[in-house]
Amino acid sequence: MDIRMPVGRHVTKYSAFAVMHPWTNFIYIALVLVITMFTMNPVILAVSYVGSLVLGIYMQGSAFIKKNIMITIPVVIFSVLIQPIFNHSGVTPLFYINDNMVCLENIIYGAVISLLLIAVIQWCSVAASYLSSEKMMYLFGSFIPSVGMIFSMILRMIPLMRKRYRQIHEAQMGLRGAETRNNIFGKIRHFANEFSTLITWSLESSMETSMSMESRGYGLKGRTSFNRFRFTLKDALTIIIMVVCFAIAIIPIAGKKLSVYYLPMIYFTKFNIEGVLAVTAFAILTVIPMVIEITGNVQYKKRSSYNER
Amino acid sequence: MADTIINVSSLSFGYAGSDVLVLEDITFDIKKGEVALIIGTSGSGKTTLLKMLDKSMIPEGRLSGKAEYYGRQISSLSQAEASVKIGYVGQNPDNQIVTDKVWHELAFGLENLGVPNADIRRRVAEMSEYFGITGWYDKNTEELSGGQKQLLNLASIMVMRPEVLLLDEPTAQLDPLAKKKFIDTVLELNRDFGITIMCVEHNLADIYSKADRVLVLEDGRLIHNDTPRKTAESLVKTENPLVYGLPSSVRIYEGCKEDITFETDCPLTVKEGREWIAGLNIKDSAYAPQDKHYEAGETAVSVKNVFFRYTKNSANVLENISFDIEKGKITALLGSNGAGKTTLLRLMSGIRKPISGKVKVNGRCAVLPQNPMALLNQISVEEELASAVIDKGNSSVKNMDRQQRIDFVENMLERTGLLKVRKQHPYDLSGGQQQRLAFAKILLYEPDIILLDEPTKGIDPFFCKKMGEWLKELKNIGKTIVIVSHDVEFCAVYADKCGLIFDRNIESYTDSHSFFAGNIFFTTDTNRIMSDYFKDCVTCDEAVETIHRCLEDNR
Repeated sequence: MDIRMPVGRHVTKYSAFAVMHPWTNFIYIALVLVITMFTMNPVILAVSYVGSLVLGIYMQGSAFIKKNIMITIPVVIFSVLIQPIFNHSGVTPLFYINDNMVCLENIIYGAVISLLLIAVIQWCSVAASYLSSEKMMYLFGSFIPSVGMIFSMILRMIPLMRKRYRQIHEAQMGLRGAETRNNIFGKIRHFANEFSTLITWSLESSMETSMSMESRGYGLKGRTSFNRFRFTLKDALTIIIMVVCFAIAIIPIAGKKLSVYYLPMIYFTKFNIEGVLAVTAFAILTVIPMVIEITGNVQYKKRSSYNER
Repeated sequence: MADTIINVSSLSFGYAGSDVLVLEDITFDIKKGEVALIIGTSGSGKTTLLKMLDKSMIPEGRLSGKAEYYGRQISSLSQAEASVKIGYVGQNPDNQIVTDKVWHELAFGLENLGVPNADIRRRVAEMSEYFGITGWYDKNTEELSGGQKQLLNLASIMVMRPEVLLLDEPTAQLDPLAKKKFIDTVLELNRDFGITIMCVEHNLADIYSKADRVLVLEDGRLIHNDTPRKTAESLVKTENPLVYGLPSSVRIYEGCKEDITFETDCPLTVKEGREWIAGLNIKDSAYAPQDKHYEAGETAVSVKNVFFRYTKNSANVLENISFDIEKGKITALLGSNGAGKTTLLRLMSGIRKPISGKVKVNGRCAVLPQNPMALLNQISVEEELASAVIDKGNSSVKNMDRQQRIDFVENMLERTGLLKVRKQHPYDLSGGQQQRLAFAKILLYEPDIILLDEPTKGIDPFFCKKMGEWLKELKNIGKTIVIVSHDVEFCAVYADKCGLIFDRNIESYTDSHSFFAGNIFFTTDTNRIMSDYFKDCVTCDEAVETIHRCLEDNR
């Protein structure tokens, strides 16, 4: 089956995780995001950050760093450098600006927050490279069937309307000649004119589309939604492993066994066996796609070189 | 009776809010596996008749009589059954496509029926193999060409396994090659699977002889229901104007009917036409019609060494092309899809600029777009025209006062025959009327040079004829007309000069008569029929005249 990523966007190489079922991709991203967002534990966050960075670079190459550095820098500047100037709820003063103290706790808190934010953003960027629009449509469609359909219809309408607008624009130019559009009001009036033509035309033709839909049985009860994905045993196993890891990690987090408090004083809950297990489980969860990618890639390379012999 | 699939008896219909009956007392049977062709002028009720046979299309109005599918009233079929068993493909390829991807479009009907995923997969796969869609299965629907879109529409109906296909001018918006491919596919479906086909069509050259039965509608009445040959013969006998829309061989046969006693059957195809001509035993085959003198006139548009490409990194669309368009003549530029005909039009009208070379235009230009919808944006016909005379960009009305402008519009309404529909919304007009309205709007800008992009697309042969005569009229008052078209027959009759756009340049740019007479393959059906005996007949009228003279000489 062909679920290649669109060429030129994020992934062009062979990806063993991207060709898995959309639910596998989606559950993975969702589970990792949930844990990342619900804890302030710096160890977990560091694991999350490193995991997303490695996976992102593996999938998108240097483009991933380039893209994310533009977000990382302002986030770090804001939460580590600027935020402590205005918040002074810590207890360890480092220095004073205008009689306001700048505390160590505030700076550390800001650093942890920015670690969280950047990890979340990077996971989303990784998700974008795994979830193509076809997969998104399928996932949306399984929550609310009509949404998937509307999504698909909108994606059909946009290029059609663009084409029509071009036709209208050219027709108007052909009528008046191309040159008579100098002032801004004239331009606005022309655009309004063309836009209203576009709307009337589109409404009129959508009548025909709705007739075509009805004549093909749209509106009957028990509509199914077709997709080109296959759910395999590998998907099932992967999901089971992911959920088990998630459970081991989330139970102590929810039970506040891994809580860390930063303000006014930094306070670590003591690490016990549960905590170690949780971090390990989360680390395993984050590397699952990497493992799939690498094993897949090793096989892919071996087999392609066999085929190319 | 078992094999009668569609049975219509004394069916009458009038649209809601109108006293006129669109269909009056129509009775016919269609047997399973037949190809039935419905012909008639626009407004004769062809489309309405088709709509009566598809449950979800039946319009509001007063309906009496029966329209049955296997003995059951179509309006009482369950929606599921109606949508599976009876499929409909309309004129506009764009408007019938619902989803963004080709594979999704194919699956759409089956999704609606609640077919499980694995079955959809199988049925879509076999259908796309049959239609040769597999190569573009992954594409966005908007990336397809018009012909591909229409094939997709057909395939996404066929995937539901219908028994009856209703086709409403399915090839009207397609170019000649795509037209042929579509018709061939439809006929193949009929041959291979016995699917019953009811087709409304204006372009009869390809399909007419292959139909099992032809239904002729005139003002809502069924006036003929017979085999194609018998229908053609009786239309010829009764001197029905519909003959004008029939294939060329029928028209030549019709034109000669005063000269010959008809023992032979009416020829329907080019092949039969050739045999028929051979059977006339014309001896003096060296006869040629007198030379038509062609005088070169002043230049209206001169294109000189023009190069053009759309974006910096795309391929050249036009390369080193040079030619002149003469003033006061109808010039036709022919060529296949994507040859650069429309591009040339854009260059002449100044919508685009050549990347090198010169396009010099002597006078004001106006373009009639392919789709008249692109020009129409007011709520009534008269306001549509009024908007043109109050447009500040319209230099032809600059010095007119209010009353003069009103008179100008009134005049135009009358000249274009739109007086009757002046209060109607432009979208409620027929395709031909819309075209006329767009044309009228353009004429209000008083252009010296009128550029027409595919003026005969989606228009019936009768309006084509009217349009052609109209162009001649405009030519006579000194306008220069440039047509860009696929329509060989139309250009042969009405153009003074023709050129073929090929390989980014213009080939054989001469007067239209020698253009078509010199071509063997890219020419009119008439030329193909006559070429064994007469090298010089391009239009039906010429052919009729030639045969007439030859027979007189022989006597």
